[in-house]
Amino acid sequence: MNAPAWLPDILAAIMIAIAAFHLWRLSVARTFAARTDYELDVLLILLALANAGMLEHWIHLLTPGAWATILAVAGAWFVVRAVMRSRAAGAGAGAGAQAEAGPSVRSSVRSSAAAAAGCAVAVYMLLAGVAPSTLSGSTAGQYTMAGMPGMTVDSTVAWPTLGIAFSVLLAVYAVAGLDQISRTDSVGSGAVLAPRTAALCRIALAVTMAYAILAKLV
Amino acid sequence: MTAPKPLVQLRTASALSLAHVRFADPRRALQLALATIWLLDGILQFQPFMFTKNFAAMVIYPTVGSNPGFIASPLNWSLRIISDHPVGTNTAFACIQLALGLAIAWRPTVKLGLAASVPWAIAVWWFGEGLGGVLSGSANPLTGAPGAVILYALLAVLLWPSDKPAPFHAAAHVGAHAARALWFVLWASLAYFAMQPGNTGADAMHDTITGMVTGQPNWFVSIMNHAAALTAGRGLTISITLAVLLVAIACSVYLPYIRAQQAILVLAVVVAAVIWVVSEALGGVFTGMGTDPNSGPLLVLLALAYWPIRAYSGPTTARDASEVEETS
Repeated sequence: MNAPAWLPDILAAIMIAIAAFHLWRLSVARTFAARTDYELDVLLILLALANAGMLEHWIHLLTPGAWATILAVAGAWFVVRAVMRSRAAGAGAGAGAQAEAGPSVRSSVRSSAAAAAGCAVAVYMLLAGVAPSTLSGSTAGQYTMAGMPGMTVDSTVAWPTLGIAFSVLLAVYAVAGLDQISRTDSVGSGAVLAPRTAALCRIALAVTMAYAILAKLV
Repeated sequence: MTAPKPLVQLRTASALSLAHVRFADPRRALQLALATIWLLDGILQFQPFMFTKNFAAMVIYPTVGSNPGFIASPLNWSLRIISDHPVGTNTAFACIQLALGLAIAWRPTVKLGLAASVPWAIAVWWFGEGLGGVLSGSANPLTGAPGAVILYALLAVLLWPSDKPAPFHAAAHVGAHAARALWFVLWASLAYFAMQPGNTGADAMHDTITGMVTGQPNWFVSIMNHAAALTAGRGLTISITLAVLLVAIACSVYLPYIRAQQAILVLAVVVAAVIWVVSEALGGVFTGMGTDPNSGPLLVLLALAYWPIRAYSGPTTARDASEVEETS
């Protein structure tokens, strides 16, 4: 079984828009003297394009193996970054300075950890066989019966238990993220380039990744 | 020299990371758990199977069963519409559930999301689940009776935003008496359904479990097969035991001792988890045909909403509350 053709089309278009938005952030951040996390932006471009390729054939930029390698390396880097920043915070000069820098350092460590987790999920998806449907026409609106002669059956993912666990985590991430950016007290210091839009992009990416996994449980 | 004024939207640093999340408010955490389940429901509803005609034939049609006319007629009406327009109707269902999850998660629209989820849940309960088989005699707590979807409506009411002090979170909006009554009715009804004639046969539970095995991964099939073997021929004993446990859980909110309440709430969580894993097969999500995780996670969430609040200084038990009323 596969979804109506318009559904992966729309989601793939959203993924491309997310990649384009983060490319824009990278290119204009210096111009507008605004802060952005360049490494995270690059990762989100990669994640969005890899995810688009798992939804639609026409965005097949690299093989799953190549994507998995790139994202595994990126994930490993974000693990290292999280550890480094965590240690740097621990070895800070004064207690007062530590307390002042605390929330932003913690936030940086957590965002690095979240990025690493995102890479892990994407690598799972690529290795488990999350990919565009192998069926030529859509089964939407039809009668289908898996396993019966002459009936249409799509490929399914490997390690479905891990897939469901990741889907739940992605949903939790999306909900917690929406709650966080809708808080009235989410105010700190320092100008950041379009943070709410960036946060919404990450939420859309998480929901789409969860969909891509669950849609392959057939 | 000053930096050029940015032309784009600028916000502040702490909003950069979604990882900077705090759950200081347990009531909000419960709402977010409900939002997560709605969101997962929406994503599950977008699965390819739901867009096929099999969805109406295999998921909705079996709920018609032996329901009385006033339930069966609207159910057949909705069945015809879903069967004739599977893509359009399913798109609408999935989008609504997704929107409910997102609305509850987004603070400014939390009331809108919770309020909208009540009529939606009731409509699905009636037109999609045939009231969970409550009136047809087929309701079984092991398969999600009285219908998982009605628990969403119940949770929306109990978790409505409120700052009122209460002995447990579920009581903050509706009051302790009403909240306790709702808990009692729910769990006592589960006990009643456990003792329905169709659920007390020697192999009733065994057959319920084996009926869910198809399409599950190997490790899960192994667990379910073991559970099925354990229950074979012991249907009546297990039904009676389950009914006794469910009655104890129903009465727990009226116990005069907080420790006893807590112990039985833990029991409620364990019972809900066992039902969810063994007989609901996690809502059938491994098969690609599960529309939701079924009642297990919702019962757990409900139990957490009734967990006594330590900081509360008013009457904590039903006995305390009645003493306060008598004094006043």
